[in-house]
Amino acid sequence: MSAKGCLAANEWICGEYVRTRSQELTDATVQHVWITAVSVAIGLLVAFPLALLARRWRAAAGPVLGLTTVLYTVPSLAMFALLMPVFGVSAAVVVTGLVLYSLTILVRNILAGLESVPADAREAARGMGYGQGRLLFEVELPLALPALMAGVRIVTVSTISLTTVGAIVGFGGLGNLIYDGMDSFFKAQVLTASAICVALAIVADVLLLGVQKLLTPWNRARARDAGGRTGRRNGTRRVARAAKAG
Amino acid sequence: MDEITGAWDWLTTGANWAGTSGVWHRLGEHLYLTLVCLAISCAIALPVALYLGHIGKGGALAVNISNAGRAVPTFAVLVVLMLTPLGKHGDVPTIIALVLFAVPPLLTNAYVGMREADQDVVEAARGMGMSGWQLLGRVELPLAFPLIMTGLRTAAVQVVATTTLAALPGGGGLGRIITAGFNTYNTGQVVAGAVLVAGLALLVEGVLVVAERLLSPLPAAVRAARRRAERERRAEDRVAPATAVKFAAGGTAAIVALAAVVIGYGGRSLEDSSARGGGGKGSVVVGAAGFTEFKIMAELYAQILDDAGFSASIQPLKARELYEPALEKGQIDVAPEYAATLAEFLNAKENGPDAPAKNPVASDDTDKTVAALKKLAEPRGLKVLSAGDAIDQNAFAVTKEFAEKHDLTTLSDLGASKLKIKLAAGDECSQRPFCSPGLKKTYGINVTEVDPKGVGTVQSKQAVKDGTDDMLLTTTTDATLEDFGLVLLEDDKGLQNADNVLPVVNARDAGGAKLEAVLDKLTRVLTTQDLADMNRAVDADREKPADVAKDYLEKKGLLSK
Repeated sequence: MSAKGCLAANEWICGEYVRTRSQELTDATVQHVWITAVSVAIGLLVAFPLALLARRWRAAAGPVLGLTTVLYTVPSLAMFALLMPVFGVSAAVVVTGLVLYSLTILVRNILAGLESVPADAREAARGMGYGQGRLLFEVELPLALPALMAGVRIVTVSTISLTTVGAIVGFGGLGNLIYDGMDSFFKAQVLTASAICVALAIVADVLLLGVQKLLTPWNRARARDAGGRTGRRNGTRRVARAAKAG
Repeated sequence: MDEITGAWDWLTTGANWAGTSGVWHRLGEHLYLTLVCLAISCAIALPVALYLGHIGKGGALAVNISNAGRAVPTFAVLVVLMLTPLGKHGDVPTIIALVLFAVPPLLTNAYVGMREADQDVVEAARGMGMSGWQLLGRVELPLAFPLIMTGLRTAAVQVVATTTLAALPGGGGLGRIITAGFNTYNTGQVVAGAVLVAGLALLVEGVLVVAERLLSPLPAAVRAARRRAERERRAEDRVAPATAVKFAAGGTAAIVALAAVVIGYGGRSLEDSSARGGGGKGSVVVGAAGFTEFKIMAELYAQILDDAGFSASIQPLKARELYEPALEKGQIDVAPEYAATLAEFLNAKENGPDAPAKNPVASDDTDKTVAALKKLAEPRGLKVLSAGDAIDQNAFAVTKEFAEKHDLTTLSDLGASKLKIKLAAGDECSQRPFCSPGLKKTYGINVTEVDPKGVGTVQSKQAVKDGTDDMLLTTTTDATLEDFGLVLLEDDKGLQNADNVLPVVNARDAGGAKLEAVLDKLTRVLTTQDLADMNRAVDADREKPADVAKDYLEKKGLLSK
């Protein structure tokens, strides 16, 4: 059975497919990665001031959270289709849509993170004469980092998944291959692209987990110390907070 | 803001609410999919989560399942399942994909809810002699109830939104309204569809909020006390106004700057590719639509132009409604086209959507059709190059058995048989005069539904082969009909017009004589059989359009290198 056989026979797993389409697969993966990275980065930049706004003015919190939640209910299909007349056929359509979706989780997580900063830490800093800016960047943000990183992890993984729908405007990364494969019943293409997409998400999640651990060395120490008596309780609380934030 | 008025118009048109493509039917399909999915997801997630929460093990697993679930791209799962034999049972792939999507948030929230239960209370209850079941039912569940309901609400809203994806491979639900609007470039319809889905999601959320309040096992006083405690806890967090404003301003500036870059980049990705000046050497963008033949034609044009010294690239666009305006604006420079179809398209654009039916400009006479096309195209800045012998007309195919059973060889036979036909085609079929309106008018064929599986795609052929649909729209150059046991029904009344393949270029950016000469070389050689053979190589043998085009050009000696 010649290798070409598995392409013409439309088999699910086909080495010949990967060999002949390696360039397309690479291009699609690269597009997928940069769309995700840009969307998450811009999402963070937009979510941060929004979260601060919601924190400072209680009145703003409602509308901000409400708006981001409503955005989340707009189906991705519609979101990209509606942005297309605005941006033309370009990656901006997909990136903008993904940024808007990321806001719900990021704003909520940043808020939750900032709120979870222990009051004594804040008061101690104020007592030492920290101004607002220093307080935010040197005390509150580092302590809020776990919740923030949990949000970034969730958003990154969701974004990798949602990017596939961008295929309807031709900027869906691996989704482009899935969409084309759907139209032409190309099983090997669909399965390979989907598998790479899942792998991307897992790798991103693990990488970000590593980054989170790197940025918060004190958490490791605290976990070790508390391991004995109330370890199980604290562990569950952390799980609970992470899950609630998600 | 005519997207909004368009949406309003669409929503207030009674006809759009009735029938199998109407809002009520789609709403019903959508609700059905959502409810079935949620029911199955709860049946899977809740027992597992409650059990694990009760015994206190598997916390890491619960959280990680949530993350893993997010890593699964629902669209991909949907397509994969559709391509398996399961795809024949319309809703099953969608439900499986949605259940995979909904289980993680349900499971995690329920588990965390169980663990959040105050351990002191649990120990006290155990001390009082409660058994495991009593503990679960009378202490842990009531305390976990809010979080379980939060998980359910989150999952429900997300499922409502994600069910729209079922429309992409031709499934049901409100998503079909969105895809139909998208494919016919009717933005008002897309907005209407989005509004309907968002409205449904909010409605579902509202219903569940009320349900939570009614079903909550915790008395109202306890809930109020909890809410007060939450509020007091948050009261201390304040940021000074000056700092907040500074950050907000800085953040907004950053957003605006980045948006400008992204929009500029995105916009330029099309502008850059348009030719820098007339017929001489420059960069040329060839537009390509979604289906195989178009891709092959685009590759042929791009490669022969590239070989002649133009720097050619290909820009994929989904439909004529998208690439024709792009061609006029110069965002793409060259596109392969079909004489009659483009002529009627421009006719409709110029004289209104009824013109192709009332005053058609195309006929089955090639020369007259091309002349009419030139008359319509030139004022728009488009130059029509010579047409060749290669014709790709729309054609309709049914299974051999169907044709034999009802004694059909022509479309007139089908019309006479008064059979109800489910047609697999593109979304735009209901608006194309050569498609369902033409079938109804010229042949009296009763097309009850258009299943948007695409024109001549393998999906459409599979659907007709399986019996999901009765007939499909394909092309005369379709080479794989036999493989699916399909036969064409003859267009004996000449509904399909002279759809000769010819290049259409943007007169300003690509109207030069040299470019015309290069493309003419190809047009003179290309035959209908050539197209059919190349289509077959891509669709059946899975070769790449670029390779197939290159082989053809080399075989015909059209490349100088």
